[in-house]
Amino acid sequence: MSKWHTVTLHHVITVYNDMSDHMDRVMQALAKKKTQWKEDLFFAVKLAEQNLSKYYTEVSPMTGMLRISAHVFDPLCKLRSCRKCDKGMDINPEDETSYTTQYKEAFLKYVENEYCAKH
Amino acid sequence: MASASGQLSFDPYHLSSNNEDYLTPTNVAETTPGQSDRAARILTATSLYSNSPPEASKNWGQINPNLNDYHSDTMETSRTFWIPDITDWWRQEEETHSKYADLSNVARDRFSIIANPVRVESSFSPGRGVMGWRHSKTTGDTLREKVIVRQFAQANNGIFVGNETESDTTNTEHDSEMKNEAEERKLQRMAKVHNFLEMWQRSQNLRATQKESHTQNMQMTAVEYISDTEQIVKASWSLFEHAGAAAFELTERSPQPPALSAKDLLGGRTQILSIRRIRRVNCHPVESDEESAPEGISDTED
Repeated sequence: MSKWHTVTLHHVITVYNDMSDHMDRVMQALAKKKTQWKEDLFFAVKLAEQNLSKYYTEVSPMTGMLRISAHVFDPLCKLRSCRKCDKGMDINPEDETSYTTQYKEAFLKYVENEYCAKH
Repeated sequence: MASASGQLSFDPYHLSSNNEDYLTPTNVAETTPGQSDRAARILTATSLYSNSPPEASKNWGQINPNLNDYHSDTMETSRTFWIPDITDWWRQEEETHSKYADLSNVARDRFSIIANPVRVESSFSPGRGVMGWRHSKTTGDTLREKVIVRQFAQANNGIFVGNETESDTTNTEHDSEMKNEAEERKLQRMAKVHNFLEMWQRSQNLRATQKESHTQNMQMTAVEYISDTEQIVKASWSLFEHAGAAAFELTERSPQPPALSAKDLLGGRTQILSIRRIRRVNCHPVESDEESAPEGISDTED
């Protein structure tokens, strides 16, 4: 991504999600394998997921609004990732506790504080 | 109606954030009716934008894939793919004065920030930092060991961090031993440092042995050590001609001393069964030049 010549800031959360899903699939596939190299790969993927989760926790409405706002400003995605997370966790996107509602309110508040209050 | 007509005639692009900062005096109110209208429009556009479903990816600009090094692969470019240019979408929104025209300035501010995933990329691809472009023959095992040892050292502030705990008086001896053992196990598992140290120690021992044997050889050479003294034939300088140019002429005379014959022996004995010659090594042949060869040899007859 660092080699792209175009805008890539809105891809950060998408890449995090894809990497996390891919690691989950690999770990599920290698969970019961007994071959040495597969056990090593499982251990490596587990460490990589821990490392990724360290960065993923920084993408929150409190700390990572820059990346969240860039992600929402992608007209192809908007809040689709949040709805996908809610759907995976069987949460209604219209609920107050859903990711969609929380990120939408955080986005509105961020724009209001950063632009409307100054202009 | 006045406010509505005012809103219609209001051009938000003449009030960009930079121009406002430059043109607004410091002694006037911070919020003007135009500014509040614009803030309200931004809020409305934001709410509309976030509540609307994602846009369909058609009639958008397209990014040239060859601009990106990531897509410079021939396999990748041969495939039919399409990269939507979101900046082009926001540009169209701004140029057409659509409902998201005010929000396009905000989006432009966001997308002008360069994504800087250095921490992420350095975490998941440290190989280039360890192995430069010139290390073309480094194997994968070596790279893996380098990465593991480096990360282990970074995580523990040095490989031999266990030495610091020894100075801590609060730790018991058993704890320090346990820590040392754990450290030892980590090192053995994560990298072949000990193999390297053992190999290095062996090479040092081999070098010391070679040095020692070289010194002994030099001493042997200094005393003119010869392994078998019985095979030595002493050649006296008297056997050689000192006649200048005649010395370089071919001669049939052997430099060895003449063999003993029966007529040379005293007592008239004619048959020699066996002769065993025991000679001593003369370390100073120059001094013994005056002695004749037969006299310098002690013969034993059986």
